[in-house]
Amino acid sequence: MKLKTKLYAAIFSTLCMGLHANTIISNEKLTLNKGSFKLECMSCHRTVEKNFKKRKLIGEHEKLTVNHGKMWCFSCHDETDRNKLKLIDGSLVDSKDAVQVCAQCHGVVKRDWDAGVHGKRTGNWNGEKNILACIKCHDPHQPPFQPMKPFSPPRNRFGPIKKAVHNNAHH
Amino acid sequence: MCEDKENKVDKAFESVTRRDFIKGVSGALASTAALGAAMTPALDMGKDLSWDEFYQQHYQELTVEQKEKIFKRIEQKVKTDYGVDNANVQDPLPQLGVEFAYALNLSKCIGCRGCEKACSKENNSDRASGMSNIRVLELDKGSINLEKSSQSYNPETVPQEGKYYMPIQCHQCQNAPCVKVCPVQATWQEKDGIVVVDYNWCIGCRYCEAACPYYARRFNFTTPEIPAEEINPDMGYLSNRPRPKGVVEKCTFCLHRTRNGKYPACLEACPTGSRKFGNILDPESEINYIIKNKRVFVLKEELNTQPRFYYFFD
Repeated sequence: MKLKTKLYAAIFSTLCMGLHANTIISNEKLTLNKGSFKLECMSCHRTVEKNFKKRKLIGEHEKLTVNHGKMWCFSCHDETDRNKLKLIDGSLVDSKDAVQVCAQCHGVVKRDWDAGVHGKRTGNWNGEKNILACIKCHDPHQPPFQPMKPFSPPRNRFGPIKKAVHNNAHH
Repeated sequence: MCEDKENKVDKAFESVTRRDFIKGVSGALASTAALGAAMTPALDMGKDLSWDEFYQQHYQELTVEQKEKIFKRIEQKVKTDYGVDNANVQDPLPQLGVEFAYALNLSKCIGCRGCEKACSKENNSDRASGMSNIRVLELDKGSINLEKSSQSYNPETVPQEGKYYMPIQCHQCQNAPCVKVCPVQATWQEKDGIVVVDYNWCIGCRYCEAACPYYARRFNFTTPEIPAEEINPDMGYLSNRPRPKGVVEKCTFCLHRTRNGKYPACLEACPTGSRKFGNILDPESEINYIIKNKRVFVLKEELNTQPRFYYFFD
């Protein structure tokens, strides 16, 4: 059976991934976007054996790093309907409601998020706001903020100011 | 008597020798030239400064009609100086029952300088000197000595191990030292707590810059250079209109945005959501929640500046 899984993964990755290089796993709804094609999770996983073990992922999930404590796929994803996430009580939710899944462990953060103190908000301070959900900023598979390149430091004030201005302007 | 007088006049003329005459004339010429040289900056000023601008009253003494006229003049000047047609100078007034406050989560800030760049862009700051009203300081974990902080850190990635990052900008102090030292009252605190500068009244003495314990004020050594495509056309008279050379500028919590209900530009640019802003008089506001529930501190509390800018942890 394991061989069968590997075979499917191999066929899938060579045929499909070769044809459509840009693979995006959408956050809004759990789908696999390959160019203009949208694939439901279950279109592959119907045939692939369930595997609860921690292992190196292959195929479409080859590039996915999972580093979220002791969590593994089925901690959040439902094993029978992969298009859904599951809560601890067994009820299923869409990925747009992923906040509920996160809040099961991160209750204190959720409380702050509800108050508008954790997380990013844009728009109006006294009106309509665009409130970003957990997975808009955090990768659920690897939640801490990844290190990033800082913008260029401010220029030294001493000495003549260079007239060649716009090298920094077109960021 | 008459003869005496004539003798005196003769004598007076006799005493002027040819040498003395040349000396006197050349001295007079030299002093005229020196005066001319000394006046050159003043004459040059005429190129940038119109009579209307020169005789403009202090902001707080202007009538609505005068303001309208001034805003039109500034829009025209932006057009000639920067080649931008759509500049719109506004003067949103403080809202009743609103006092702004800012809070910054030091546990979340990663030091990316996103706020610094967004500030520069939003506020039409000089691009040549890379001016911004925000400085992001890098400090060693466990220390809070700003003298030992670095503003010019530039590693491959941030945050660096063992460091933390503290963005610093105008704290809009309730007891603002910068306002007290201004000899011409070109800077004052508005009803909603924002400390503003009338750039047309500022004489550029930089006392305020020296008085500010938060390094929040910046001086325009040159006329700001901004490429036309980067000009932000939504301008506030007291905030982000392009400043002339020789005046001080500062953070105004983006009053042209915030008095119209929007969040400041630095807050919207922050990728980590470290920055929080709102009305401290509103008990339901985010900022009020932070002050009630988080570990909050103000910088250099011992100076009794009473900032409206709070740092917090979680």
